[in-house]
Amino acid sequence: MDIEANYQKEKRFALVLGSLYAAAGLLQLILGTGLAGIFFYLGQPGEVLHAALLAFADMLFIPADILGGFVLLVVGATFLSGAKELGAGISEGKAYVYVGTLLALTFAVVYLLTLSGNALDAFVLGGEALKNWSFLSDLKPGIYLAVLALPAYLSRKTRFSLGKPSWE
Amino acid sequence: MPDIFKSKNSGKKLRVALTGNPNVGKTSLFNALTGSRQHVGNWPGVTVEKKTGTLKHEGFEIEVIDLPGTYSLTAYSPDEIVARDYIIEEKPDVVIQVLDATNLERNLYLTTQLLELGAQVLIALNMTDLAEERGDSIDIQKMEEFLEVPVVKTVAREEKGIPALLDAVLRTAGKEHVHKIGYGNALESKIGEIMTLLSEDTGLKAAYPLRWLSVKLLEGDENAFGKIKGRPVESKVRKLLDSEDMAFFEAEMADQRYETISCLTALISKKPERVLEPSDLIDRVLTSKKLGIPIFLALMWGAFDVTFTFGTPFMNIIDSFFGWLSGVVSTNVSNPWLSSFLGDGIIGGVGSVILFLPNILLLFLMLSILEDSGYLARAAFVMDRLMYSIGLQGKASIPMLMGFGCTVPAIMATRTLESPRDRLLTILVTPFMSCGARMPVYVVLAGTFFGESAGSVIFAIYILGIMVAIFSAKLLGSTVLKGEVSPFIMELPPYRLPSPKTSLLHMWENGSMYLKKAGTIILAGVVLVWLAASLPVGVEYGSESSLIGSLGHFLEPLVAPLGFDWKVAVALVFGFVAKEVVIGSLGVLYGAGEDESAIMAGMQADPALDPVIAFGLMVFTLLYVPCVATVGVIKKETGSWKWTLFSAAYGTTLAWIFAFLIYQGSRILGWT
Repeated sequence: MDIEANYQKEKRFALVLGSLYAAAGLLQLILGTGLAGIFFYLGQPGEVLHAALLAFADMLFIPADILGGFVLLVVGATFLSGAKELGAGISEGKAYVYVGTLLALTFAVVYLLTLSGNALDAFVLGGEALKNWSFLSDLKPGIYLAVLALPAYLSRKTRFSLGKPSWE
Repeated sequence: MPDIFKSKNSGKKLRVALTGNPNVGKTSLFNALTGSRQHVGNWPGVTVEKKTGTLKHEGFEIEVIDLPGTYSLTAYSPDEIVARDYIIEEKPDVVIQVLDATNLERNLYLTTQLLELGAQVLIALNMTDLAEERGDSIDIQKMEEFLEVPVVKTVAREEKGIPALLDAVLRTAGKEHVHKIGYGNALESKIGEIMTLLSEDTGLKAAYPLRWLSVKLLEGDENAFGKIKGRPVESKVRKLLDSEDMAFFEAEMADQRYETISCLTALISKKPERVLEPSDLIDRVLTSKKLGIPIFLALMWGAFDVTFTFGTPFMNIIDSFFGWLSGVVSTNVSNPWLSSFLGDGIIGGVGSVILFLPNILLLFLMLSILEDSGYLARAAFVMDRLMYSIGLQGKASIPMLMGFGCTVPAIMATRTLESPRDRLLTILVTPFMSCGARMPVYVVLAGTFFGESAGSVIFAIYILGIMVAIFSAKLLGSTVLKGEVSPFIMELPPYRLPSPKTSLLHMWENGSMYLKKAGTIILAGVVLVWLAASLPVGVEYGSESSLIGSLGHFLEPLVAPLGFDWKVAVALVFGFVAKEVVIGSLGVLYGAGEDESAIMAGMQADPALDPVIAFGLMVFTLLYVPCVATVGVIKKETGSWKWTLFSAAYGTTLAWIFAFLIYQGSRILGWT
């Protein structure tokens, strides 16, 4: 594949993943801060929009979480910066895509550790506070969006390893 | 027969000092040589004081001293002085300079100064694997010929080259060899004049290499002037140098040394055309103006989230164990005093502290991973802009970040700061970074009064600690510690995948310190609390009429404006022993022992506590006088009782003001 086509592929990947992370982060932030209540000022249509937003968030397991939203926005912004640089023909923009991928996976591990800790507490230790807990309770965009980032990481892993000058 | 037998320390014993630039693998080499397990970090300044270890080789007992990493032997920072003074005063048989093969030019500056010092230098050319991997080639034989010292290739992390290095130590020890760097006619004539004056003093002549001392005096080195202070030659030397521009001499001599280095590197090393390294590319993102700080905050949040959430089930396991143990004691020990001592005192007090071991271990693991990956050094760089705006330099952010783990090593790590003003300022503000020992207090209070928002409240407390540190740096830096911020120069180490072994080892080193503390100082603290709660004989345990109750009532007026009652006053006093004891004391006072849920229930049922007061108590615990170990290390590092007492009084005053504003403000607003 020629270099230009490779850049375009990287750019599209960064754009899609960046947008998804940014949207999920923004939604978590809006729900967490209670900004969604602003829809009520729009009267009946606003109420419908509000209900739709909540249903949408519920369907995609998007929690009301300010700090979690901030984290997803940071990951999204990293991918989007990469897309912007690659779009402008700056080859080093790939670094943003790579770091974005690493961040996505790092935070997925953080969320998975939370999930496994809660699973251990609920199922093995029978923690009272988590008696109604299920795996879906801790399923968050930070986990399932990282599934999209994983193939990108694996495909780069052979070409880019820390401590070796194998960057293309 | 090795030349060692001509050595000053002749016999079968040798002293070897390890020196080198920061982050060149000195501690790894020390561990490889001595078999110790000193912490190895991936950021400059891990070794802040001398560490020693011993080994045997070819019938010789070799003592190895790991000196702090330094870029030169000037006297700009305390760790440089520690390293230099050791080599000059203690005169080790051999000085091994660990040299990073991937960065010859910068590392060789120290070599030139070591050679001038008249030390018996041996070079361990380390990280040769990394240099070879990127295509560098170094001609060891030419290097040895040029420098006239032995050079041995090593890969300390993998313990490669160690036997050859030790053989070279035996060959080098006891050899007398004078190294000299020529500085040109004008400077050499000045050096000669000073040497003539110094040679009149036989004491100086015996103690220091006179050429080195003359060079340092010509450079205007204050530490060197300290060595001739009060001696008859001092006035003569000062008179000679009074009219001279010593800054010019210093720059000239540095130029000459660099000229020597460039001649040497051109002769011995060949490098392929350099392409951008992965580390450089990653740095484009992690240290970028726009994303650097948000990424840093996000990563810190991730570290704290794992610490608090993943640790919970393990806390519950420990909680159940101590609950069971307490039950065993109460059913099997019939003597009420002994039963109370073991159940309420020992198991209750120590158990309530050990309960938080999983969180502490996870916190240290997270910090260790960030450090070992090389990210912590980037965090300092990213924070430099922010730190500069508050009157500190970026390097100060490393001790401050370490403060999230434990304040004691964090304060010791301020030694890497060159400017005494920056160092003192960092020492004064680091205790506001919330250490791991305060975490149990937050977890119990936030868990009791803030339910599902507990995590966010705890995070807010950490943020408040950072804000107070920033505010204090700005305030103190513009009043009592006015001065210019020194420039930020720090080497960014390459990114490395953290090794699970190293990270777990680092975690365990710090975690075991916590356990040791639980078994010593905290145990003593809780026994003291138990005694005070049980005396005078016959009194109801922990009641208002006990000794502890009287102490609490005596102190209550001081904390009443903050909404705290006598029980909280007592817990805060004992918290000076160690912050964890705050919860242990509350456990005793609420008659709840080690049972976290019983402490929580006791506090929830106490009409003297509500969410506002609990929040005020968390803030007070964050800011008031640090634990006794921290106060001790502040005294040691500042060398001043005045600043130590200032630190304690300043923190406690701030704590009182904040808690007062929280409580009284909430009362005015009708929240409590």
